[in-house]
Amino acid sequence: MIAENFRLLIEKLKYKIAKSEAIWAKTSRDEEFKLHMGKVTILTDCWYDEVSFNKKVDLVILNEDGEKIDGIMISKGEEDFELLSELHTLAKQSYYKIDETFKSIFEELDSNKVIGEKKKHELDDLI
Amino acid sequence: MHNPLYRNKTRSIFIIGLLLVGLLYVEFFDPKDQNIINGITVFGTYLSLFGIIISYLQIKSVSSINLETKLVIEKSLQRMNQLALVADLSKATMMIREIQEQFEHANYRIALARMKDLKVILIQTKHSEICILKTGLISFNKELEELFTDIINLNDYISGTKKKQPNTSKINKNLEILSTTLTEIESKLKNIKHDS
Repeated sequence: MIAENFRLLIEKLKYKIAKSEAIWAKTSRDEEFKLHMGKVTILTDCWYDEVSFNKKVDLVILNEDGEKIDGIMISKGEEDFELLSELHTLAKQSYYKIDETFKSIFEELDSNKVIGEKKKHELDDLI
Repeated sequence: MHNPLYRNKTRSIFIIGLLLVGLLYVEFFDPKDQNIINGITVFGTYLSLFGIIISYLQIKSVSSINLETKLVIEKSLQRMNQLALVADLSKATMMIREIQEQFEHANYRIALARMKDLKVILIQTKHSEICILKTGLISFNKELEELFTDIINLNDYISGTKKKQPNTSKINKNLEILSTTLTEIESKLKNIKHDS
C-alpha cells in the first residue's frame, strides 16, 4: 500500500491533468513522462519487466539537483497499481494531446466537408 | 592624507586660522585681560578644534580607502570566478563530446560515469552568481533537467531496474542541445567587459 502523501500527490496530479493545467514532457524512455514544477521534477514510467514477467509503473520525485528524493514502484496485481497506472495513462494522454486530437477528428467527421486529401497526380498511386 | 599638496593646504589653513584667532584675541579681549592664562585658553581651544577636525577628516579618508580596496578585491574575485567558470564550461563541452563517443561504442557504464561528472560541474555552474547575473539561465535549466532524467534512466538500465534500454539517440540529441547552450554561455562570459 502506498503512503498517504503519494496517494494525495497522485490525486492532485490527476485533478490538474483533468483541468488541462499540467504540461508533461517525454524523456529518453519510451513510456516515461515528466512534469517540472518549481524546484522538483516528477517522473512516471510504465514498462514490462522481463524478469518478473509483469507490468510495472513508477512515480519518482527528483530535487533541483536531479537527485531521487522519493519514489514508488508498483507491479501489476499489487494494491494501488490501477491508481498509479491511471496517472501514467493520463500523463501520456496529456503529452500526446489525445483528447484534443479526438475532438478535432470528431469535428471534422461531424462537418459537411469532404474529408481526406486528393493527390496532386493520380499517377502517384500507380507508381 | 599623505598627499604633499593636501599637507600644505592643511598647514596654510592652520596658519590662517591661528592668525585669525590671534586677531580676534587682540580685538575682542581688553588689554588688561590679555594675559598668559587667557591666551592659553583661546589658543588651546583653537588647537583642540583643529585637531578634532583633522582626526575626523583622517577617519573619513581611511574609510573611503577601505571601501575602494573592497571594491577592487570584489572585482578581482569576480574576474577570477569568471575565468574558472569559462574553464569549467569548456571542460563540460569536451566531456559531452566524450560521452557521445562512449554512446557510439555502446559503453554505457563509462558514459554514465562521465554524465555524473558533467552533472556535478553543471550544478556548480548553475549556482554560480556570475553565470546567473550575466547570461540568463532559463534554457540551461531546462537542458540540465534533461540530463538529470537521462542519468536516472541510464542508471536504471545499467543497474537492471529497468531492462529496456533508454533511447540513446534522444540522449545524444539532449547532449547536443546542452553543448550548444554551454558554448553560448561560455562565449557570453568571455565577452563580458570589465570596468577599470
